Amino acid sequence: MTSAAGSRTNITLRLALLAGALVAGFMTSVCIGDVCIEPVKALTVLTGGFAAGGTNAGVSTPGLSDILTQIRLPRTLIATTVGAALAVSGYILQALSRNPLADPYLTGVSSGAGLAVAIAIMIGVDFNFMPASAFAGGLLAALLVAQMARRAGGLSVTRLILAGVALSAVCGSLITLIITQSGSAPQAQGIIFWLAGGIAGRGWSDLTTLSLYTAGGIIATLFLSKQIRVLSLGDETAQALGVDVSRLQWLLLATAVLMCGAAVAASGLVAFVGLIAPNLARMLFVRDERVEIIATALIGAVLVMLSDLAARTLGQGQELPLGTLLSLVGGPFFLYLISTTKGEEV
Amino acid sequence: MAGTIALQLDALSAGFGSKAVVEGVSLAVPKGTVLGIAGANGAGKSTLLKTIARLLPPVKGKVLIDGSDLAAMPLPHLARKVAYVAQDISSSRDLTVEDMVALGRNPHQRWWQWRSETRDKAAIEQAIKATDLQELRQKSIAEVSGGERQRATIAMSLAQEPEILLLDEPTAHLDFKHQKSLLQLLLRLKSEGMTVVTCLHDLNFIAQVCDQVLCVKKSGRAPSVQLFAGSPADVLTAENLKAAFDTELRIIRDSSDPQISSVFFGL
Repeated sequence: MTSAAGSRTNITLRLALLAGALVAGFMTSVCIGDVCIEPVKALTVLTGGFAAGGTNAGVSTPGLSDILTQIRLPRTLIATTVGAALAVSGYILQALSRNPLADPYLTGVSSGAGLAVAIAIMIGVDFNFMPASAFAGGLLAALLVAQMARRAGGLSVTRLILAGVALSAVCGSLITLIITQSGSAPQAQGIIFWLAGGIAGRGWSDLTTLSLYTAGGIIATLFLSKQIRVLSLGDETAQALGVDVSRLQWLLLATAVLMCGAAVAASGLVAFVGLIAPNLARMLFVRDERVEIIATALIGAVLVMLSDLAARTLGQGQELPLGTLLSLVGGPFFLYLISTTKGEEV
Repeated sequence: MAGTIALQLDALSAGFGSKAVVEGVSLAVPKGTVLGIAGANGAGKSTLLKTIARLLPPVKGKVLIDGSDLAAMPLPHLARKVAYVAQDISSSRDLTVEDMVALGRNPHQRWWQWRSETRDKAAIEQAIKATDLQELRQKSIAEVSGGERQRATIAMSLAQEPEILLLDEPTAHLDFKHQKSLLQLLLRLKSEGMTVVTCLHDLNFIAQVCDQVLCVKKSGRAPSVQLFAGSPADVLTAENLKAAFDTELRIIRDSSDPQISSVFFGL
């Protein structure tokens, strides 16, 4: 490792700052909304709520506890986890494709999930099954793309991206067809709102599945970080160093798809987090993959959490779509990356 | 020199899928010797070398290492025995020269392991020293020159502590000083018992370092075949070279030492 004592302190400091930003953002997100709650009060409710099972002596408003524990807290936690999942998913895909511009959307996972949800809404599937449909659609899309990208001895990265982009286009057209052909306006509205991305109305039950997949995915990625570095030398050199390249690629792809699928199921189509977070992490922390992965997760978490906060507070009486907000930031960032990235890397 | 056979090519056809680029190569490489693979552009030298490294499956025939079939070996086990140095490698990550050399320890470590044990550290240090990279160890491999990166790649393969070292055109990016130190390094490794197989364009380099030369030759659209194989002193003759490269080359031999000859264009 290259880090001398000085830069190691530096890394710890930066990671601590990121974690601090996460905590500060978390408190802000929990406290701000239609009803604003003082941070001290919120903390009392949250700590007391968990300790005393909901009886809060210090809080006068009985509804306050419900707002915090049933709405704000799960929503903020979901936003945080979705951000971390999409970000690390993007990190893996960038490592797999050796391309800093890759993101979960390039695998077609998100659009596959989107199509599944559109179909589910159209045929009137119960809302409770929406995450399951999104997950199944995403997985199906990833398998299809991976199948197309298959070649002797592993996955062709170029084919993976091309197939993903093509599949995204097909799914996009099918979604548009469904929206324009669906007879009833509420159904079309439902699809459009899901596609725009958002965490409104999600609760604790959504969080359980999501956090399990995300935690598992991040831990797996940390364990695979050394192999990610070996893979950066190219398939041939990695194999010559004893790596079963095709198995590693499948493992990484599966990890990325699980995290991305779980995130899409919980929040709809939230774009660009998987692109922005890993690139910011690489700008802040050089060379150590483990630090980068943790930083990527933290940055993604802060990013989606703050965007969700903006989505529910900036709109005049109505929520703004989270995905749309993030694309407003992410699109220009993507263009900036293209303009600064050297030709050979793209 | 005539010791145990480290590497054996058994009626080997190398290529892509079912399409052979080189066919019918049979050769035994004794432990502690250097084999040079020569031939014109497109004759399939690199394809042959990649098949020996198991980066390509053989189209036909077998590669045997210490008598056992290469195809049946687990990859990490193989990587502890055989190291392969590609012509030009880069990383999509920002690695230092030292980071890259340390990756040579991968087959000796557990797959999630980052920490270098004492043994790893010693191998890394030795590899860096052998390739004269002490000054460059903290430099990014994206910033060093092609020759320096090539030395770092060789250092990475030395850190693997292999029994057989495969080198694809190792002199390609090296200046005279570093060509000479590579020559000295190969001779030293050989004296320590390392078996080396290298693709080389430079016939003079072959003449000085190789115990055996294998020459492959392509004719028309058919796959290349083994044109000749033997010690440089025996097979590097004007007739053989004309057959191999379709051009006249002159050979100068030192009368006092039949091993050392020099090949030049003789215009």
